[in-house]
Amino acid sequence: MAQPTLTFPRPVFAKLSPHPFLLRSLCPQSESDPAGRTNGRAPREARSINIHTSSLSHAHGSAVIRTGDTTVICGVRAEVLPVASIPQFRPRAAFEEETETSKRAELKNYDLLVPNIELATGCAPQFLPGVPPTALAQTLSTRVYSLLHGSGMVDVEDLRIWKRQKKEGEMEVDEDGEEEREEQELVGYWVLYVDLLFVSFDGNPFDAAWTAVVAALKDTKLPVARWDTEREAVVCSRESRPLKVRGLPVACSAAVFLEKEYGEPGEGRHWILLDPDRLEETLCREVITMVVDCSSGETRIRAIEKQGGTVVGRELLRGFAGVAEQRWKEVSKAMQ
Amino acid sequence: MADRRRINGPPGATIPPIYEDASDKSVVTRQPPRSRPANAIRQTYLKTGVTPSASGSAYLEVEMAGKPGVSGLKLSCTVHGPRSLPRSSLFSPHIILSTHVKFAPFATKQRRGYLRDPTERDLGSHLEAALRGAIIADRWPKSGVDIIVSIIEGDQDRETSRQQGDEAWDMMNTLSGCITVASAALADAGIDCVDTVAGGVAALVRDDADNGKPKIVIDPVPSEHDKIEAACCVAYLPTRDEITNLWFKGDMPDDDMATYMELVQQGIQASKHANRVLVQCIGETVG
Amino acid sequence: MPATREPEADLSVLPKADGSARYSYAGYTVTGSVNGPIEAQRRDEHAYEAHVDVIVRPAAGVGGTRERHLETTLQSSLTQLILVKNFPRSLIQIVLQVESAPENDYVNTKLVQASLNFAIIPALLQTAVLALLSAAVPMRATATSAIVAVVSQDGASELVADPSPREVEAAQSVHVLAFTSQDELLLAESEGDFTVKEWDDVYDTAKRICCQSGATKGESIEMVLDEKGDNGPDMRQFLRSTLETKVVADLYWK
Repeated sequence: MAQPTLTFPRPVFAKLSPHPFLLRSLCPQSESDPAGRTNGRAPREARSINIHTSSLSHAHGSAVIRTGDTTVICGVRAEVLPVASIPQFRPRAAFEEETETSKRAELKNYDLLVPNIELATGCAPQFLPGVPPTALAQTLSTRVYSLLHGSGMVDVEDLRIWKRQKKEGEMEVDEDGEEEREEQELVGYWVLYVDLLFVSFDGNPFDAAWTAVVAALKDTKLPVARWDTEREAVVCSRESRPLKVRGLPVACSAAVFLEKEYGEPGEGRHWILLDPDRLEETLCREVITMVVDCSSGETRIRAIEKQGGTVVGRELLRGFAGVAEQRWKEVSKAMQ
Repeated sequence: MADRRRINGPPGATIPPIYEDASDKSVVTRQPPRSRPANAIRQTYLKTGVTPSASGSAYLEVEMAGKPGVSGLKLSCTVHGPRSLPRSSLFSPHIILSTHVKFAPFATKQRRGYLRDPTERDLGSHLEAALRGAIIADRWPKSGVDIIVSIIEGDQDRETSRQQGDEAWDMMNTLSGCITVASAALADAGIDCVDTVAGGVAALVRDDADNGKPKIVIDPVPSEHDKIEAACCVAYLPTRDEITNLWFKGDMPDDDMATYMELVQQGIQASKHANRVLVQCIGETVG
Repeated sequence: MPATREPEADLSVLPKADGSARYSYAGYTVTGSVNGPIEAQRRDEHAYEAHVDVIVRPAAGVGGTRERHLETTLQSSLTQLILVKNFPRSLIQIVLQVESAPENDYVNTKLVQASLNFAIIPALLQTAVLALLSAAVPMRATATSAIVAVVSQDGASELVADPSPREVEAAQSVHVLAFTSQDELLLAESEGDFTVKEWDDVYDTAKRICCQSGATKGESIEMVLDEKGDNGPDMRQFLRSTLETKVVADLYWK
């Protein structure tokens, strides 16, 4: 006699007991159903990425990223920061050599890159508006900010606004013979407000957000700006020039799923799930993000972030570089 | 005081770019005058289910005037609920709507702040009024539903440097879009409504080309006209022939009731056009 | 130069907290307090384990997004160390107050807000572990942490343990690693521009700082001497001796 069994449709099962649901999917009982994640992907399979740029007309650069059910919009907006409104502005003296370090410090000290992530758009049931940014939103903003500065994608030289004028009257040759050159004076900077808006959230927000930032920056065109002596202000012409963006760092994240939900760490098997979705993210503690850039031909790592567990050690991290490289190829292909 | 939960920009104020031809009237490329008939709305694209984790969601795009294929208004709406009210709230015999309308920082000509400003709150309360008349609220006692509209791109033409009138005309178009998109998202969430509510805008405009004679057009684009005298935004239930929200603004002689009635009537017409798009979109999802 | 100074720590410095510690090294001084297990707020309550709440307060001003990020990082690491399953439905609260940092937090008379301060993570983690030990919170393992920078000099890159703020600024890449007392990699944060090979070297250096134990110390010292470099102190031995000193002091009456 058949025992009466209680059966649920998949979504109900997923909601009631998510951990056994995912575990069962990863190690199936019979030969017939293949092992895989609940979203139908293999453990090392990321969602394909779809990038669409220049769709916003008010932003200077924009990108819409869709990977699976995660959709994020990034708008880059440039505004002028006159030197006069920088407290204690210190122009670089002629004898000071400009180095990569000093350029980065300049970018950072004057806050020329302002990224912010908005999650409270109802993009998932846990993110409702009317509350201040959550710890997740703040952490994501900080990580994007840090990586923007750390990766040196934007050169401060590209954001400087100069006042150029010919020296008049003094035609006699100076000792240093520099009078023929135009006189340059730094009058301001472009400040790039990089705003990210999540339309739909289904896990792995950092990878999607970072890809959107990179795509939007590559799409950014700044107006040609000059100093107007009559108006004593920076004015722009309708012409624009693309912002120079160095390199193409791509973020690749994975989460570690443990067999024992409440067991001691190190017990049982584990799976490394690339590009986790919302369900997987809630079940995994240990996460790893690696940002790589292979645009120079050689794989350079730009950032590593690994926390929340002890499964990923040296060997796994080393191996993960290869996974990240693969992801870089996918994303760079989508960027074109 | 600086917001310590966000990354703040430079402490000194930054200025949006000033274009050298902005004050030079002759250079301003004039928007081509309205080419579509006075009783036609712009191409509208509507899609439901853009946010799978929400109970219901929808995305709306309205084509930019004069530039086919380029979209003007872009709205995304998510609906969460119906769900139980928090324990602390009082008993309610019907569902409590909370509407939230927010512009993205990059949605308009001027960069928007992160906190809601009075215009956004105003749009939110108009939207709530429009939807309250459509939802069968007493089917869900002690529950609440959140309706969130994110304005990804506002209905403002970047090249238009003429500041005619104020922002209100754009706000009306935005509101009518908000109503339509929220209605689609509510239907996607499966929340019972008496009818699909859609927004429509009609305006009394005065064009130099018509020797300054006022005329009524639907779905007006401010940059296409020389002057907008008055406008109204209507939220309308077609099968019931009921208006759930009416927002009228402008300058009209007080004895001219006929023009006033005509304006509202045209608003209803615009709403009916939008409703057709709405019904078609929902039909596609169901079918 | 502060970087070569030995780390210093005092345990149970705050009389009213369940446990506390003051730790100072490489120019950073951090005081941490631990209270717990205490009753959790409803929204933090977890049916199977204790909620670990970390609060980081900067030396100047109020916390911003950067502190939230540090808190998230520390919280996920400390949850791994504490036997959280022993205390379901409760809260363990860790407050870390930065007292001094080698570099002023103000640039242009304005607080540096968002940039991730890597160099402070080891000090915060170390203080948290000491304070947890002082509060006698059951833990699976202790942890030690180190920061290593890759500085390029005349074309050759060199590893610098406990770099100064100036070195961090000029470094090619900066790495923070933390190991548990079972020699497992608990936390890895890196930033800059580096290769897998460089990261591997950094891993070795950091592991030497974090994981050499008293027993093998003689050997380790030789290794350090071999490389003719200052490879930082023995963090695990330091942790041990600090606690031994404390226990001896507490059992003085016997």
